[in-house]
Amino acid sequence: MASIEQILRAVYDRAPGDVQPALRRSYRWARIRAEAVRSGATVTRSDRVLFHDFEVAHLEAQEILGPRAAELLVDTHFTVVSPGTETSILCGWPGTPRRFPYAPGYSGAGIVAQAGPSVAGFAPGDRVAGGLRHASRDTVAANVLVRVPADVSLHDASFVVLGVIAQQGIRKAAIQPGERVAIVGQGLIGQIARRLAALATPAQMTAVGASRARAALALADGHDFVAIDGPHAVDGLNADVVIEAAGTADSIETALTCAAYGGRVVIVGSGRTLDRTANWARLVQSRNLTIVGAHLTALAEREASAGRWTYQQEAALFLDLLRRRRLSVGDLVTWRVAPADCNAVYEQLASGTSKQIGIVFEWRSEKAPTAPAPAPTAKRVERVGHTRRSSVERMRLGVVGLGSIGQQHVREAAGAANVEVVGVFDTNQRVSRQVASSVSAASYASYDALLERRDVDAVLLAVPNYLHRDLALQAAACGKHVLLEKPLAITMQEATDIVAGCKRYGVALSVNFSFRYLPRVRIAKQLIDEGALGEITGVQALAYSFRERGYWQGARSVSADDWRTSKDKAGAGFFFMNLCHVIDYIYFLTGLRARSVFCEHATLGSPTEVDDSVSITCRFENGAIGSISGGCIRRGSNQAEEQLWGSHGSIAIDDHAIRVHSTRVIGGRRPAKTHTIAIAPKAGWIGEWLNEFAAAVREGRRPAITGQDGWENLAFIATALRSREEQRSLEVPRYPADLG
Amino acid sequence: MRVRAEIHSQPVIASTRVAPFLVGRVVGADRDEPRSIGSRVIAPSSDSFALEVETDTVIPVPDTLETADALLIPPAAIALRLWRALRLELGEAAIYTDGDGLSPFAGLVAAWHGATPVIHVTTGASIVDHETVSIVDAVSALDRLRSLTATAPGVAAVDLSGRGTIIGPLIESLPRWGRLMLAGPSAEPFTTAFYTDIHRKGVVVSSGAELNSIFSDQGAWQADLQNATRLAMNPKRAAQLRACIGQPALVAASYVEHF
Repeated sequence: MASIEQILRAVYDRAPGDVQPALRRSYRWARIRAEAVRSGATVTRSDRVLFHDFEVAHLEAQEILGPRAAELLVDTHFTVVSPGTETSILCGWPGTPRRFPYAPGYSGAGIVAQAGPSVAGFAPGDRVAGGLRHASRDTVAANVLVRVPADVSLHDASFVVLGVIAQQGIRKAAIQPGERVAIVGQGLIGQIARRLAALATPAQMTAVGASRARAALALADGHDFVAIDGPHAVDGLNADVVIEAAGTADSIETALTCAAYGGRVVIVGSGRTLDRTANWARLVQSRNLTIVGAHLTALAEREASAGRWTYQQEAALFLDLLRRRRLSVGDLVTWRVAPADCNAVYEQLASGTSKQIGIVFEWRSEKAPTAPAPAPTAKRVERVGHTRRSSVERMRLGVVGLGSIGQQHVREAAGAANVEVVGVFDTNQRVSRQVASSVSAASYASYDALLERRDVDAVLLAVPNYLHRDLALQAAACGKHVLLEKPLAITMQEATDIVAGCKRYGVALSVNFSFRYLPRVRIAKQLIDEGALGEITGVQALAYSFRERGYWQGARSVSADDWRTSKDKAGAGFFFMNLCHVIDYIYFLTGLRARSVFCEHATLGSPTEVDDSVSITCRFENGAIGSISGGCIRRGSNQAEEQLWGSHGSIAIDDHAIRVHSTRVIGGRRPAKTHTIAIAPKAGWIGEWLNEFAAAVREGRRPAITGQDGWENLAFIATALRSREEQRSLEVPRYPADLG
Repeated sequence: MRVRAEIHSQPVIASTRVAPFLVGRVVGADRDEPRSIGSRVIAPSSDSFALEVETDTVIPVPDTLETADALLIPPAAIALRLWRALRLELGEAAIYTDGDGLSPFAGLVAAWHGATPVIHVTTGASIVDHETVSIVDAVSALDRLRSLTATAPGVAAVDLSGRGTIIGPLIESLPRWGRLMLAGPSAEPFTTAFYTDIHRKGVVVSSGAELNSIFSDQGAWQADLQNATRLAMNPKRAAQLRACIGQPALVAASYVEHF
């Protein structure tokens, strides 16, 4: 017959995914209370550091049981991070537990809040130190704790278990006064071991570390230091006793090499890798070495014997050495941190580049027991609002080109706070008059006439691509700021001319990459800027839609024109139609630029000589790889999706939602969990672009989207097109520094 | 080899455990040891000013070590050896008795092991900075010893006095698994409750005979002599060792000239 646990498991596995979290919480709630009733313990709350996944740590509120028979409930003041052990588990190194969530930590100090009924020797209010995990309150067996002397701070006492680890190793080494001692590994255990070993009066104490970065502490203590900066760094050290406290793949061989003939090597570090290449004959036997294993569990259980004391005896000695000032640990603390910042602590440790020695979580201050720092409140960015209306003078805009896009610009500009449409022009004068009338603007008979108007500050050119250069330069020459529909131009030379021309005439220039203002892009940008992804390593974008044949003949425009089908007039097809937006906001989101690109494109279903199907592979300047695919011949629903990923997370974006998964705490969200953020319907993104441009001009600064953005966008596309012709990956040109 | 004396160990180190020795200079060497001429050595001798010794019975003295500090090597080595034989550990209690020139060295080296407390059992006043137990009143001495060692996970003791009035309470005070070395000339009998004080407590009592062989079995003493030499060459440690002895006198120059 199945147990209750098995039945509940079966129910859970069959439940819908969105129901499972609630089921889990209910199960935990019921289970802890059932256990409390059965054992007579209380239920209390604790904030605890948990490893949720590899390289992911988070501070979480949990319910825990109060003390049972031989247990104590302790209000924690300080806990010390064991960098080696905790990083091993965090990164999933061989020989470590691989089940999550995992509660790390094993050395701390605090005050007894409650004692179990059969505990002797402890009472509420007692200062204790020992095997405490990283939690604001912890229920532990009484035999893992010892009382802290009155004149030893809880901060220093919190090192007790790490001290015992080092101390029992020193004891097994049986250091004789006058011997030469070497300590391999200058992390926290190595530093404590070095100071404990010095109490046995060696004639020479040498600290051996991976780099000189850890030399200062040893030198300050009057000890020697050797950095392992070459294959023969420790030759000739000839130590009678070597304490291996590094726990790395090669530290044992280093320790053996440090030993003199007949020496003793004590292994305190917990390196978990297999060594298949150790030459025992050469390293150990021929040199008559003795190797001693000294793990914390190799302690006497009840009574001390030669070289083996009990845990309590070692702990009491460690605290006594602190009390007598024969040992100090305070200066080993390089980072005293609030538990709420644990995510950053373990991210640094997991990176392998941490230079910290002692990291201490401060749960309560030493003097008075206060509540631990609260976890950061969640800051959710679910909706994006529109820009507030401004009461300052508005930019007076002339819109040129009144096809479907141009008319959309006029409508958006009419609702934009910083912009006022004062004039329009289109070669189709009937349309020009109609649009002008709709926004109470003037309709001009020619482009020249519009440009002659002093009450026009800027022009927005929504004209065929091949006209961009000439009209933009003409506007700039008349002192008008220039807003251009994408692309900036159809050749790199034209693009350079436009940027240079606007610079020469001192006018602002921007290109309509206003998709940056879409809610999905803005939310994604914020998440990425907050570090959700870390170092970006990959991008994938899909952009598929459908354009009917009539589109290419201008059917969606008020003035039917087939310029879109012409390579000379359009420059490219789907690239300029849609894909340029994708390229731009990938650049915007990542802050990266493509270094090289290879492209396949073709015309597979459209009555045009330009591309309607594209697939690009690119390499970004930081080495990340990107894949962008799109086309306008895909029937069915449109597909617009981006996925970006990096060293610490991933993000998936579509028009409906953003799914973000990060090892970091972003906006208060729990790490190592995929969070779904709904996207508000898109509206007013062109107005955002216009408002921002107008504000930039007013404030005399560069707009958010510049001519450089347009130039770099075109550089990517032009290089991609050329790579197809040359059938090889090509380097994307960089923006010329002298272009401004 | 022939050795010319420069300093004698007696009377500054008056010990039954440390055989008399001198620090001298090699003035004549065997044919196969020409390089030793001019070097300094420690050789067993009571009061000779020149002597012929076997090469393997002398302890070499480093060139950079002062002659007076070379006197410190044998007693330091013997003290290191005796605590090593007793397996004294960091944090254990160490007990040593007076009555011998080796006693101050024993106390100092026990402290160097990180022993705590270091207990000096004496019939008189203690001149060192250790816990003192006066053995004049055996009952109170016993209570005090037990009190001082009550919380120590281990106790190691050495008797250098050879006196029953000291050894008796010492054995009785030892806790479970205590270790005791009888390194003094135990000439007088004393009462011992073997069943309660040794058998039931698992006490280990050793004789310390090996301490006599520093000159005759140097192979076994290599590590301790090496460590003692290193300590004597350390200025801070040498100063501590020097405090254990009086001021040695150089051998008179006239005698030197004679040879």
